[in-house]
Amino acid sequence: MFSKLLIANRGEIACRVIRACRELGVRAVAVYSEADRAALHVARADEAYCIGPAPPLESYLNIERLIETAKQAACEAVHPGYGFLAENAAFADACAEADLVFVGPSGDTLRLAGDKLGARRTMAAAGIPIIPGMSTGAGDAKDVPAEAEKLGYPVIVKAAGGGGGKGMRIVRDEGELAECLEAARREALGAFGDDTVYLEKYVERPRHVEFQILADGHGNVVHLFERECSIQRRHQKIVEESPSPALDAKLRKKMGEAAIAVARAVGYTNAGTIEFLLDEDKNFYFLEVNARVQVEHPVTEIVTGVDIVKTQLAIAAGERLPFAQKDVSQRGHAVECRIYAEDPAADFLPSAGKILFLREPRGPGVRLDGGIYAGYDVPVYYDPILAKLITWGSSREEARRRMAEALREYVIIGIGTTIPFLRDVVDHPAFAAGDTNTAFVADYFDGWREEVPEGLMEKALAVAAVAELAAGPAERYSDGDRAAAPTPWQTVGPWEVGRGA
Amino acid sequence: MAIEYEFQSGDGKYAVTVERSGNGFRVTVDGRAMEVDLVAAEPGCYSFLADGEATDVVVVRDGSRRYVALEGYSLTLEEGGGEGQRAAAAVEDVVAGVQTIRAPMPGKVVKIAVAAGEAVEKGRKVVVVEAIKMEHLLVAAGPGTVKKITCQEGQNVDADQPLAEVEVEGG
Repeated sequence: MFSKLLIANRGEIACRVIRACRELGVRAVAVYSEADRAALHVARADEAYCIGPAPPLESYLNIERLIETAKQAACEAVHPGYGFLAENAAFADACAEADLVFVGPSGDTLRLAGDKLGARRTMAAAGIPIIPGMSTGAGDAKDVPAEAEKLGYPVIVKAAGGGGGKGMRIVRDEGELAECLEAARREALGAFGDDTVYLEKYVERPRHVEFQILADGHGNVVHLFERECSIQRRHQKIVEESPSPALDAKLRKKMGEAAIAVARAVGYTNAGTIEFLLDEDKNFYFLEVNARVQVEHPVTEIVTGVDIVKTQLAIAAGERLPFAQKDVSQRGHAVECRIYAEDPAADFLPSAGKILFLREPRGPGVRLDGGIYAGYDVPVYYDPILAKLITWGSSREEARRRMAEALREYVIIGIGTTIPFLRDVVDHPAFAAGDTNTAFVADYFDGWREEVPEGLMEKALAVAAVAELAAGPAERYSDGDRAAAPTPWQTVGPWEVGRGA
Repeated sequence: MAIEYEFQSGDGKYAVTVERSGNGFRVTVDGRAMEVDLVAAEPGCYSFLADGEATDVVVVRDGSRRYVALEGYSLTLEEGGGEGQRAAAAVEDVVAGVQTIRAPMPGKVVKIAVAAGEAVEKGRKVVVVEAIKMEHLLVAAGPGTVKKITCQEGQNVDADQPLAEVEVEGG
């Protein structure tokens, strides 16, 4: 195992990696931008170094500065987390050149995974089901309208260079095609520096089902079963769970084998995720490879008992996977809710500011991966994820009810968060029934506004007014005059050892 | 002694009166009274009991704003009242048993809470003036009778402009 590792990230995932390092006895080196001196990951690390100004391009995306910092601090490895440089082939290459172990797949695998069209060709050649569509860019096709006609509307225009909903357009008929292609090209060029786009058949109301895989450097590949991440807003996941309510043992086995075949086809090493779409007839199609640790990895950790982040470090250190496929099983059910600093009633606009009060939920089957604290000022520069709340139950319903309760217990005051929205999602009958697909938010939560139950405002008003006068526990026994409040020694009174208060 | 508060939340405006009652408090919210008991636990956290029904609440004060979190909901209230009462005291002007209530600063009369000839308790709200997005509750300096009202709801008023007169008993 390494003796020292640099974490090229921030927020909750940096805190998560720090925990794994401490358990393994690896010194954790944090990096931070000038806006992040007070961030939680800096306080939790063993060492921390400033890597530049607040804008990501000048700090968390600054490859040269990160490599230099890792070398100066005598690190042996770099964990990229998710986002930022996690799937950046140039960063993986730069680490290798600087004799630093990149905790993730090789630069070549990252290049292949990042090229959507190349990945489609590779998967088709490996016999993995892909969504019907073009195998080359739309610019090279002679007759795009004819291709679209052949696929059958609706079709979707996708960017070859990236994901995250950018450069994506759904086309319902030929009249919209030319305009959508142009718009997608412009967006793709701006987002990924490459205007290559292609057409795929648009799958209506699919479920998003992905498989977690682990691959060591000795040719062993296992999967840790699936996660369903169908609850999305703006093509970004907000609720994830494992197992998926849509899979039976037979389909699970088939998809798991396909996921391993995908990983082998791209020569994958370390932890990764193979994303699939599952249509209404339970046909599955390869979507893409996420070549990093996923935000939603905790649900898999909880149902399989495998610590994915520690396993990432072990694989990067050259160790063999300590278990085979037959040793892994799913126990119970886990649900994750992503807590973002966003206003769900205003189209999920980011909501930066100071956290005035924080109370995190606890209890049986509750896990919280966070990167915040009371008094923390959430900066405007970065992804607004604050924390992830995960609950486990012996059944889906138990996990769901625990989540509903945990969300009620969760109090973050001072900034807008997704908590009220998530509470309503988890309480929704369609979610309770496991009847989820990627149109869930559009179908049931379009124009969502929080509805405060009858009588709650009156209670809140009474509390607000009385709180001004209310006594603390010690003052309770005085005449209410705070200045004259007695010390605990004066109020001990009739209490006797062994009798209770 | 009862203390009056005025809160706003969204478009709603609410009047809340609190007075001590035994070990707890009697609270009146928009005319509806309840006996409640509130005890502070760790900072910001309170245990609220109303007729035996227990609620775990968080109250955070940020200037005139109160954040109240309870039962999984978080409500934001703006206080306009407590602060105003103190401001009102500064412009109270009782001469020969007559209190002249004056506008504390340029603003708008948003509410006249009493009628001429009405008997009032000490601290009773007479006129509410809104200025700089804050409501100022102008209250009676002692028990007595409202002698006259010299303003109208909706009227813009200048600083120190007389708005009402109250004959104060024993003043």
